[in-house]
Amino acid sequence: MLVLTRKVNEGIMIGDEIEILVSRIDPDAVKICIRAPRSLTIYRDEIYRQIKDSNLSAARPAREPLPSLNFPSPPA
Amino acid sequence: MKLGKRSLADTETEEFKVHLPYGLIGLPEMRQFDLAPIPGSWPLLSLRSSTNEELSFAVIEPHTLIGGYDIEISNDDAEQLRIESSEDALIYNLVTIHSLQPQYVTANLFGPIVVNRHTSIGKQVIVVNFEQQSARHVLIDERPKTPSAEEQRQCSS
Repeated sequence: MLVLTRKVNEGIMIGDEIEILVSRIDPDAVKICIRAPRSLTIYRDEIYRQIKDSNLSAARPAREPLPSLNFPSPPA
Repeated sequence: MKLGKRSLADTETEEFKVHLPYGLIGLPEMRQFDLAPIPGSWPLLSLRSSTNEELSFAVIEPHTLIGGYDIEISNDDAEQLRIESSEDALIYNLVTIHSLQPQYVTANLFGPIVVNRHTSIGKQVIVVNFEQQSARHVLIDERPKTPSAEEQRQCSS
């Protein structure tokens, strides 16, 4: 992993299109501004991981029939 | 934008192709799906990958099962999907079957798949009001209940 030191109002470019700026530094938090193409979605990493893990655990082999589950009866 | 209660049934097709240009979160190559009800398995529908035919997901249309599930998506997501009103949107939540004996089944209400029902283009989004939603909303939980700390205290006193 690349590690860089930046001060407030200093930034980083990733390629030509992604710009990251350190906007404010507090003792236990950093405020970061990100400019990126709209086709890229930006996630907080704990949220990204939570959804990714949930997606992976939801994936099933397509050939296997769904087991019978005890859902309530469908509405009439 | 708040989204509502449209169903696959409203599209008047048995099977519906869903295209997710960005794939699923963490599974970016999974872009093309066939969505169809599973006979005898209400309320589940099958979201089957046509990119990787080995893989399938069970999903629910949340309004059939979960009262008060009001989600809000960001304006960027709505714009990207060209969703102008809640009437344009189909919403699906991925279902995880954690165990069968006892049955424990949850749905991800936090990152639903929102599909424009006119274009079939969708995206797995993080809802704006995510703090009110669970990634593991319990649909079925038949696991034996463990006494809560409160109950345990009462028992020992």
